[in-house]
Amino acid sequence: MIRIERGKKSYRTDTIQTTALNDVSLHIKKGEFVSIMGPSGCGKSTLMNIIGLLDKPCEGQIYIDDQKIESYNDKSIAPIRNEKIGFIFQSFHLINDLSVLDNVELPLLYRKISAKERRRLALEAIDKVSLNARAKHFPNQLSGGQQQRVAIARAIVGKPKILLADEPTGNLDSAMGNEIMAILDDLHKNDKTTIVMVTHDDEKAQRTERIIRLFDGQLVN
Amino acid sequence: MLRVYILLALKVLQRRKFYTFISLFCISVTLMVILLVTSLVENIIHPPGAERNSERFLAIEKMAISTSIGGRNQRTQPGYQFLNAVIKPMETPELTSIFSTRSQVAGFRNGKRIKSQLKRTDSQYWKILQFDFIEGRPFSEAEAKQGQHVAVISEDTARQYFDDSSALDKLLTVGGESYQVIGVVENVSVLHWNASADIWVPLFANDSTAFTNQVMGGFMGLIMAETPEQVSAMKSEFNKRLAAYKHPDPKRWPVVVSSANTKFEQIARLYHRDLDSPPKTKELTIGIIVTMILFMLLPTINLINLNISRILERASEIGVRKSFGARSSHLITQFLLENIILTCIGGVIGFALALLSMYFISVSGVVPFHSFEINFRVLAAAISVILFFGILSGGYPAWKMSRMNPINALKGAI
Ligand SMILES: Nc1ncnc2c1ncn2[C@@H]1O[C@H](COP(=O)(O)OP(=O)(O)O)[C@@H](O)[C@H]1O
Ligand SMILES: [Mg+2]
Repeated sequence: MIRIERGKKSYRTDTIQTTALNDVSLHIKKGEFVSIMGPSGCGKSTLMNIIGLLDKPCEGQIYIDDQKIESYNDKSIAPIRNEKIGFIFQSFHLINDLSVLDNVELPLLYRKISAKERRRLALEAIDKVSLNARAKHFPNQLSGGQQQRVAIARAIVGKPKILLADEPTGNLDSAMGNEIMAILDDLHKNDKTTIVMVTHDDEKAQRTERIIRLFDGQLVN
Repeated sequence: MLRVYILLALKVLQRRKFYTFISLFCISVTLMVILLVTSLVENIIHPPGAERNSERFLAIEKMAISTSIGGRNQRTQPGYQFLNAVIKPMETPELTSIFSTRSQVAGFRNGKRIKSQLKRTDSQYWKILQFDFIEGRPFSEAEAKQGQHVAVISEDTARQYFDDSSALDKLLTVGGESYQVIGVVENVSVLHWNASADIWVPLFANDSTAFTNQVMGGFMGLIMAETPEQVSAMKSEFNKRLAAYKHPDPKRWPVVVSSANTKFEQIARLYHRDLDSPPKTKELTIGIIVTMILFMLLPTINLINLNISRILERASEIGVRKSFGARSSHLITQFLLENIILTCIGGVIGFALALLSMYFISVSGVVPFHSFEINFRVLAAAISVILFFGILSGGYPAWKMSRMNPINALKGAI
C-alpha cells in the first residue's frame, strides 16, 4: 500500500543543513496497522509528511496504492491526498469558524458530490466516533478528546485507504488517548484501513501490528 | 460548488464579527464618499434641470485685455459691447444670449430685509436654458427689448415674498425698482451658475443704457448649437470673430483674449485662470481620477493588511484544506468569494449611507437648492469601486494564502 525506496530528506537553513531522513526504505502492506517510534527530532513527522505527500523527498521514490508519485504539482497530487489519505494531527487542527458537521464535510468539498450526499457521509462518520449529539457544536465547545474524534471523523469521511496519525494522543490524557486508540483499532479491524501512527507511548505501540523505529533519520531493527 | 463557498463565507463572516465590522465600515464609508463626490461632479459636468442642454452650449464668462502679448492686462467678465460685437453676428449657433452676472439686490417684506441674486437677461436666455416653470412664462422678445418691468422669480423667492399664494401678477420691489411677476421657476442649484439666480428681469428694464458701450465687466454670453456635434464649429467661429474684434481703444489695448467654454472647460478654468492657454481639461480629468484612486487606496491597503494578518490566523485552515486535497484554485476561489461577498454587503450599506447623506445635505441647504441624483454613470463608478476593493483587497491575500506550503501552514507559519 505504501512503499518508500531510499527516501532522503534534508532541510537547509541559513547556516546548517539537517538531514531529517537518511536513506529510508519501507513497505507497509494493505490493511496493516503500523506505529512509528523514536526520540524527538529523529524524523518521524518528516516521514509521515512524505508518506502523506505533503512534502517532497530530496531523493528516492514513493508509491501510494501501487501508484508511483512522479510529480508534486497541485493538479496531480491534490486528488491523491483527497481520495487515498486521511490525516489526524497531534493538535487536531479543526477550523474554529466551522461547526463539527462542516469540519467533517471538509474533504468532501473537493470531490464531485452533492450536498445531500456530503451531509449523509459526514453524519455517518460522526456516528462512527459517537459524536452525533455534537454535530452542530463548534470545536471550542468540545473537550480535547472530542475534538480529536471530530478530526478522526474528518479523516475517515472520504473513506481513504490510508490513515496517517502523527501523535494523535500526544495532547490527550490517558483515558481520552485510549478512546482514540479504540476507534483506530476498530477502523483497522472492521474497515481494513491501513493505519500509520506516530507515538511516544510504548503501550499504545504494542497494540499495533508492527513497530518501526527511527533514530537520527534512519531505520533501526 | 459556488453555493458551498457562499454559505461557507457567510458562516465565517458571521463568526468573525469584529473583522466583518471593520471591513464593512471601511468599504461602506469609502463608497459613500465616492458616491457623493461622483454624484456632485457628475451633476456639475452634466447638469440636469435648467442647464440640461449643456452639451450644446458654450459659455463666455471671462475676458482680458492687455497692452501687448504677455503685457500688462486687465481681466474680468466680458462687457455687453464685446459680447454684442462678437457673438451676436455669429452664424453657427442656433441661439445666442447675453445676460448679466448675478448681482445682489434687497427687498423688504413686513420690515424684514430679503436678499436676492438678480440677473438681467435677453429673451433667448429662456430658450437656451430650460427652466421648469411652476407657473407663468418667461418674458418675450418684445418685453425684453422694450425693457418692460416684468420679472421671473424662483420658487424660493416667491415663497419669501408671497408665502404660499400665487406670485403671478404681483408686484415685486427690489433694488428700488418694481417689477410685475410673470413667471415662477423651480429653484436652480448654485452649482449651475450659468442659470442660477433668484430673480430674472429684462436687460433693458434699466434707466441707463450706458452698459451697452462697455467692453468689459458684468456680463456673460451663451451660444447654443443645434446639435452637440456642431459645438466645435461654433467654437472655431467664436475664435475667428474674437481675433477680428478690435477694442474701441486699439492703440492702448491691442490684445483682447477670451474663450467660449463647454461646461467641463468652465470648471477646468475655475482653478486654472490663464485665459491665454486652452482649459486644462485633461489635467482636471486626471486630477479627479488620481484623487479618487488615492482616496480608495488607503482603505484598500488597510483591508489588504487586515486580510493578510488573517492569513496567519487561518494558516492552519489552509494547511488542513491542502492536506485534505484542496487545490490552490479552490482556496483562491474560497477566499476571493469571501471577500467579494463582504465588499458587496459593504457596497449595499455604502449605497444606503450615500442616499441618506444626500438627503440630509439637500435638506440642510449647505449647497443651496442642490439636489443630488444618482444616474447610471454614478452607479458605474460605484460598481467599479466595489470591484476595485473586492479584487485588490481580496485577490492578493488569497493568492498568497493559496501558495502556502501545507506543512508550514499547519505549523502556523507562512
Ligand atoms: N522545516 C524544517 N526546516 C528545518 N529543519 C526541519 C524542518 N522540519 C524538521 N526539521 C528538522 O528535521 C529533523 C526531524 O524533524 P521531525 O521530523 O519533525 O522530527 P520528529 O517528528 O521525529 O520529532 C529535526 O532535526 C528538525 O529540527
Ligand atoms: Mg513530530
